Amino acid sequence: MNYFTYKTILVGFFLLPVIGFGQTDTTYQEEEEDYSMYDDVEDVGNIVTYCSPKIFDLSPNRFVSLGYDLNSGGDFTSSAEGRFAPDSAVSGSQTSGLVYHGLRLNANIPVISLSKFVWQLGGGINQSRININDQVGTNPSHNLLSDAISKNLTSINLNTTLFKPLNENSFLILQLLAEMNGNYDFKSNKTTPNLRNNKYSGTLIWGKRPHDRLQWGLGLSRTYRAGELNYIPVVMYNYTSENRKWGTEILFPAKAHYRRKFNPRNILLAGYELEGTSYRLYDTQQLNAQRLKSQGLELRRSEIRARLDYQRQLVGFLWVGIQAGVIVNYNFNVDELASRDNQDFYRGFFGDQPFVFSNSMSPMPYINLTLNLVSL
Amino acid sequence: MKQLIAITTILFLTLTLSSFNKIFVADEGDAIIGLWEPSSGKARVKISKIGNKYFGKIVWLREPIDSKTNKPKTDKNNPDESLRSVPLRGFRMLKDFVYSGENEWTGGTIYDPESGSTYSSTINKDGEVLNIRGYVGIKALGRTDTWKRIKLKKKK
Repeated sequence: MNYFTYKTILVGFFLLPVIGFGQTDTTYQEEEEDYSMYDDVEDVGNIVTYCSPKIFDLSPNRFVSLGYDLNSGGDFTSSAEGRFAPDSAVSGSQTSGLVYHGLRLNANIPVISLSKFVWQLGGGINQSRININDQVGTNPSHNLLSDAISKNLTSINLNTTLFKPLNENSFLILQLLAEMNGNYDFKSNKTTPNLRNNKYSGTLIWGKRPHDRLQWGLGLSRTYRAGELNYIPVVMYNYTSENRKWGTEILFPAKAHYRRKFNPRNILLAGYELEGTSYRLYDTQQLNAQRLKSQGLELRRSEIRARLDYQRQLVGFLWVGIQAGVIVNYNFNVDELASRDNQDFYRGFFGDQPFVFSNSMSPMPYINLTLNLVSL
Repeated sequence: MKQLIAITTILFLTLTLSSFNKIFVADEGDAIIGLWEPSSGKARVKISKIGNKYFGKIVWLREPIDSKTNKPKTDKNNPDESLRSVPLRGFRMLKDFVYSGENEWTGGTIYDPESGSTYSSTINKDGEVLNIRGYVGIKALGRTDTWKRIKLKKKK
């Protein structure tokens, strides 16, 4: 046997399995089937079906979101320290220009995601870098509050969401949130946040999902969205129109949006969101540690963001979001908690406990850009 | 000539043993073949084998007719416009799964007709139940659905 014949036989043997078994035709089309044969199946016992946590065409669920928030600034009027009834008009001792901007990084990871139970765990950090500029002709000296916040307000949070379908068309949602908020910077004992000052929120919703385009619910929430502790009823109403071009995404009073779908990868939301929480003020500026500590000051911050929110796919599951709108201040007042054993308290809409600083802000245009890893 | 016979015999035996092994593993992988119902109960999916990969196509829909058009439902959420008129019944929603041992099929994709999205996917078989996980990028970012095996009624 010559060398050529020997080599040909060897190559042939090695190629045979590759040729024979290695090819897969994914475009393979099977012959037409009689699909009616799949109508009748054997009884396999009770198949329990559960409703989905979503309806058609909701804006994408964000696994990871990295964004930047920036406003164009407005007038900030702050009272002198005193006692101010919750509904009193702000008489300013100091008017300044105020701008804030900051990073927002949030993640929401499904830990258990089964049809009969969904458990998501999330966390995030949201910063507001605040610049206060004195305006010409006003008192140039900052008050204690302005000094205390004229650096960073930071909110670090952990949250969890549980979705439990009860059957094919009803469900329960439980959301829990723990936040560490303040002007802390971890640089010294005096400016490291105290876990006792953490804020805890929660929402429980019972809801119905009559069909794939409607989901509604009623519930109760313990929340700091209005800046201070509150207990409020909530209404959820997510709807998609029959032609699937528009819909609503509402969790009233926290947020409400009209949704317009240009195509499945290109949507616009118009509406508002109420954002807010309560921030502990620490002596990061080495101003008057004794006053800040002894008074236990809490900045009650809340704002309504009226906005357009355009979201579109960049590539695959990576989306970009652009928000533009107006920030309307709802609450920027300060409570002192020292006289209440540093325990938070409930004022609600009708309480008359006085604030120690009473402040106001003019409306401010803002933009927010985010990159999001999403699931549709 | 003796040399040729010896080489041929060795290669033949090697090939036979390797094929036997492949067939044995493949048989285990074939345990996924059959008719399955996702947890929503809205569809039935037939999994079959093409080449050495496993595919699943929708063969039954609880609501096969689009109430708007009064025609069979099509894949109207597909990001590729040219595919939106393709009937959902017969659509291959599971693709390219390879059996990787220990009751697990990997490397495939699952298509969600309700959003028009295709996710990376793995399948885990536990008795007569499939745990099908669709995910984005890494397995942690995903959702698992449980599918139950069903059998066709025998014709009398």
